[in-house]
Amino acid sequence: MKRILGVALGILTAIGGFLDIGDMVTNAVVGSRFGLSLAWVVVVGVIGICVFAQMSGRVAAVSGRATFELIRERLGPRAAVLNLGASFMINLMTLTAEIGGVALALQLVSSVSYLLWVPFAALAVWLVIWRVKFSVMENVAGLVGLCLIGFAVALFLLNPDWGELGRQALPGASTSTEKVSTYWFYAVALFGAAMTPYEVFFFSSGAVEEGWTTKDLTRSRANVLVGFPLGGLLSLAIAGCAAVVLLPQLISVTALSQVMLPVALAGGKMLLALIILGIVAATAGAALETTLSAGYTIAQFLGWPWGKFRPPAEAARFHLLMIICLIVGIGTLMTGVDPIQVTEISVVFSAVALPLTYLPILIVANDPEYLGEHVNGHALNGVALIYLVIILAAAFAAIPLLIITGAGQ
Amino acid sequence: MRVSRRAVGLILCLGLLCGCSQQAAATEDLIKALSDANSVIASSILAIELYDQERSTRAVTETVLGDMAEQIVDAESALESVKIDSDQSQSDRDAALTAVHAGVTAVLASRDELKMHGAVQNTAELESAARQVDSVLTDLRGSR
Repeated sequence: MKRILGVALGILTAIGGFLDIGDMVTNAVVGSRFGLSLAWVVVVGVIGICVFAQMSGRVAAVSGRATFELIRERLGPRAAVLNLGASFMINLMTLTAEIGGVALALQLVSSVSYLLWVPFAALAVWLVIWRVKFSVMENVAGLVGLCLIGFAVALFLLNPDWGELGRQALPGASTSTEKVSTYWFYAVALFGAAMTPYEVFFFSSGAVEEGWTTKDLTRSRANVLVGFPLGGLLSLAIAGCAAVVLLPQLISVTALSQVMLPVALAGGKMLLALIILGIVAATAGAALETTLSAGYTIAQFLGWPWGKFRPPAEAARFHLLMIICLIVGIGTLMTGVDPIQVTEISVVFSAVALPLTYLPILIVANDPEYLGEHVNGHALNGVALIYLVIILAAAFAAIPLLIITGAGQ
Repeated sequence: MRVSRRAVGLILCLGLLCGCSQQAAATEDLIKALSDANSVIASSILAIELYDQERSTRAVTETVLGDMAEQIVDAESALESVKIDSDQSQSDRDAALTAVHAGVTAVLASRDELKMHGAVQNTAELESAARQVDSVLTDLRGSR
């Protein structure tokens, strides 16, 4: 019974923790500009993150070691440093976006400028990392993040023409007047939002933090294969709400506050309060994950003691690094840069850096020296190779599309 | 002689093409700024209506209007920097500026009214601005 409850808790946490500011903003922007014509990208992205997280979770559970430790050992320090540099920079950008997301969500509650909330949001993140147990932190953020199910409720309450929404989602059914290059720019952005690398660093390092072994492989699979797709449905609900309410009025989403309009229309103040609570939890959870991931990547690469399972005094450099990253995030936001633009750019660059993190995991997941009998099977390798091609295509297309479209303008 | 004629012809053609593409780019920039303004005004109207119907909170409505005010000011600035190379472009930009400026005035007034009095009396000014922006946008799209 305790085991079943543990699996259920893990799944619920994965659903609530799946969405972050990148998913919310990108899905709302896409829904308001393209309807559901890019829903297929969410499906492709969710399957991709399932494959990626399943491999990295298994690597961590079987070897008892985390991603960057193994990447450095398996590929050598020179190849790994390139990987580390790209992953760390994307992670830092995502961390900045998530802190901005928490501040923007708090502005929706208080109408006090988000800039005043930024230092408090970062301080709260640091305090939680410093004082709260890993499992408590992960489960509370994930479970409160479940309030985002309110987006699915809102979509039902809006009582849309489901047939029309279904037709929008069919390939080639786009009736949008947007340019083809803009359509593909947002396809890459949605893919990057669904497959953000920090999710995988956090997932695999978290497995080590919680002392997973081969006995936990079923739990890991359940979290990923059930939790993430259900989280993906919430992404589609956000796009659906925007497609039903904002697209017909020619409203393009450019601010988080606009995402609240369909929710208020559908469910009034109660649903609005639920969703804002969900956004605070989801962005705060993602800010915690990205801050920890910043510490994990560097500490694992350089062989420093890391992890929340150690007292902070025993992992001083790991904790110091996270404080520095938070300060950099605050400093960047305080320049007045729009957090939504940081989010949009970070999801595109996530797609650019993805091959650098995906390929090493794929290599290690096929290495019997590390995984013994738990290496990838033929079927998983087939899917993983197809995804390698998709990830490479998205990575090579991302920057040209960013330039051609002026970041999707 | 023949070569120099061809060269002159080529230069003239290139000049004509550059001129046309510049004018097309200017029209695209105007359409982009007007579309942004349209989106901002529609968002503001929807936010105020939802607040009037007590479906939304004051904080959310103030945030929406604050965000929209910043964006419509940006759209107006973008219009001011559009390059003008003909009388037609000048007249298009003037019409766009007049319409977007009406939008800026209406959005800022609604934002300030909500902050000062806790409510926005009506959305007539915003709706009038929306009609102006929409009319200029339709004309520009027709002239593409």
